[in-house]
Amino acid sequence: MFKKILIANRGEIALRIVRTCRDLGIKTVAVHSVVDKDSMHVRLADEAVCIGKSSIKNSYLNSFAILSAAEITNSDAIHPGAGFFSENYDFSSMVKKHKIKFIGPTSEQIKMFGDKITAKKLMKKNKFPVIPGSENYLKSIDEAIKVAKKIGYPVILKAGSGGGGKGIRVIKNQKELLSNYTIVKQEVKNSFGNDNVYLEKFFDNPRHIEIQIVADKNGKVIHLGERDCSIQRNKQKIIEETPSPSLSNSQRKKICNLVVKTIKKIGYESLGTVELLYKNQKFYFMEMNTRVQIEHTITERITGIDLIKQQIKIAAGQKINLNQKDVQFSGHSIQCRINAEDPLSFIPSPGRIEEYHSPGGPGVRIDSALYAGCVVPHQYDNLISKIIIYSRNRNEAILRLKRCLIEYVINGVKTNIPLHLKILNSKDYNKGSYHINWLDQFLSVNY
Amino acid sequence: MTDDLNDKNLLKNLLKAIKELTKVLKNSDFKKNTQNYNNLDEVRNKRIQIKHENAITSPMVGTVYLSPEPKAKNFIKQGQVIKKGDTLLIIEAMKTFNPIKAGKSGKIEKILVNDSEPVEYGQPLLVIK
Repeated sequence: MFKKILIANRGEIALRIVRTCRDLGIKTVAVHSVVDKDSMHVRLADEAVCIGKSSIKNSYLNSFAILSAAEITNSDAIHPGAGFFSENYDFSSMVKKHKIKFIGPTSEQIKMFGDKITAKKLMKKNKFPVIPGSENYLKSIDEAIKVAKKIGYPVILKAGSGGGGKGIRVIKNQKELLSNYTIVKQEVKNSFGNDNVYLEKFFDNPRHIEIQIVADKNGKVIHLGERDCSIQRNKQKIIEETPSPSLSNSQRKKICNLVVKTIKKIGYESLGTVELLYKNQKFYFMEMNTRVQIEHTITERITGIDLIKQQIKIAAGQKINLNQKDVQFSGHSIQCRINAEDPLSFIPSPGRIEEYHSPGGPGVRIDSALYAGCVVPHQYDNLISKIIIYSRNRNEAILRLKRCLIEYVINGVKTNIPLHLKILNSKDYNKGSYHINWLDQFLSVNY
Repeated sequence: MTDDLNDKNLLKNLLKAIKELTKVLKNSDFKKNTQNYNNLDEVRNKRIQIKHENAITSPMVGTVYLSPEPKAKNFIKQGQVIKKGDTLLIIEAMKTFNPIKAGKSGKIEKILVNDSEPVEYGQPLLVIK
């Protein structure tokens, strides 16, 4: 097992990893930018190294500084968290060359799945259904126009190495394609380091359902069920739940088994999430995420399995000590993502947290790096907290979630808590009848 | 409006204020920057104090970009005639790029910010006549 892990991330996910490392008795090293010097992941880690100025490019995407920090602290592994370098082939192979273990799949697997087009081709070859779209990355705006015409508007413009809703746009016509092409490319370059984009057919109101898998290097692959992440605004997940209210037990079993079978054939080690679109009882492969997901928490809640712990153990070369039949699913779990933004205009709201009080009680988990007096910088993501609710059934979980949203005190920045309450009070959400465009439509009708 | 702009004293004061602000912004001392962050309200108030009629103000805290990508041509230049709905600049805040569009047609009288510069909520960005 590793003796010391450097966590190349910030905010709640870095803190989440620090916590599991402590549970496993592993020492931790936090890295941080200038503006993050007093943040929670820095305070709770055993050691901390400042890796640069506050802009992402100069700090959390500064591979040389991060590797130097790992070297000087004698870390034997790097956990990339989610976002930043978590799905970056160049970074993971650099880490490997320095004889430090990258906690995740092999660099080759990151490259294979990280490249969305290669991944789609791979899944298609293994007889897994995929979304129609461009066969390769777009070389120019002219090519984009040609492909869009062929598959028919509306289309989705997507980043090759994207995630977290960044660098994705729904394009209704050629005029929108022209005005969005460069902006999306730039957004992608800033967030992920390269600017590959491609086009995909836009489905009318599908659901986003993803399957969590755990795989080790001995070829063992198990699934931990699905997550329904269809409540999205601007292609960004806001509320996730498991089990999905739209799947029957036999549908769930069928798709989970197909995913496990396909991943086994391809070969993979570490945590992985196979993201699917679900429409008219059919599933289509979108992409495979080769990192821990922001919403891994709800799977942990209903299975009782610590996913970060599994990820670290697999990276250390250990076998998965679980069999598929040992995985028990019980109850219902929902996660709300609390963002620092205006709940109506969605304008980002960075600033200083003046007052802070987090909810509690049975079945409540809060993953957040906030504390009274801390600063939410404008340079980074606006996700500031996650409320994870567990209850015996969906109705009780919704009631408990509403209680927590009302209890939560975050003063100093605006948050989307009022929006969450509106969603949870809506008829559609309570019935479980929603899809990935539901929230945008709900907002345009209700505001 | 036209009278106001012709008022030499007003213009002089404005220029002075802009110069002072530029000094604050060019301050690249880390420690001071962190202190500035701690004195967020103070800095913000100072910046908002400069009033411009017809100025488009920043709807958010973030980093302003005058061109769609580094080294590309700027969206607008001083003196340019623009139409309602044209993209004037981009503000990056919390990893999203938010295009700021013209609310009306007119001529770009003055651009009050520099590329890659931090902007505060309510800070005047440019003046459209």
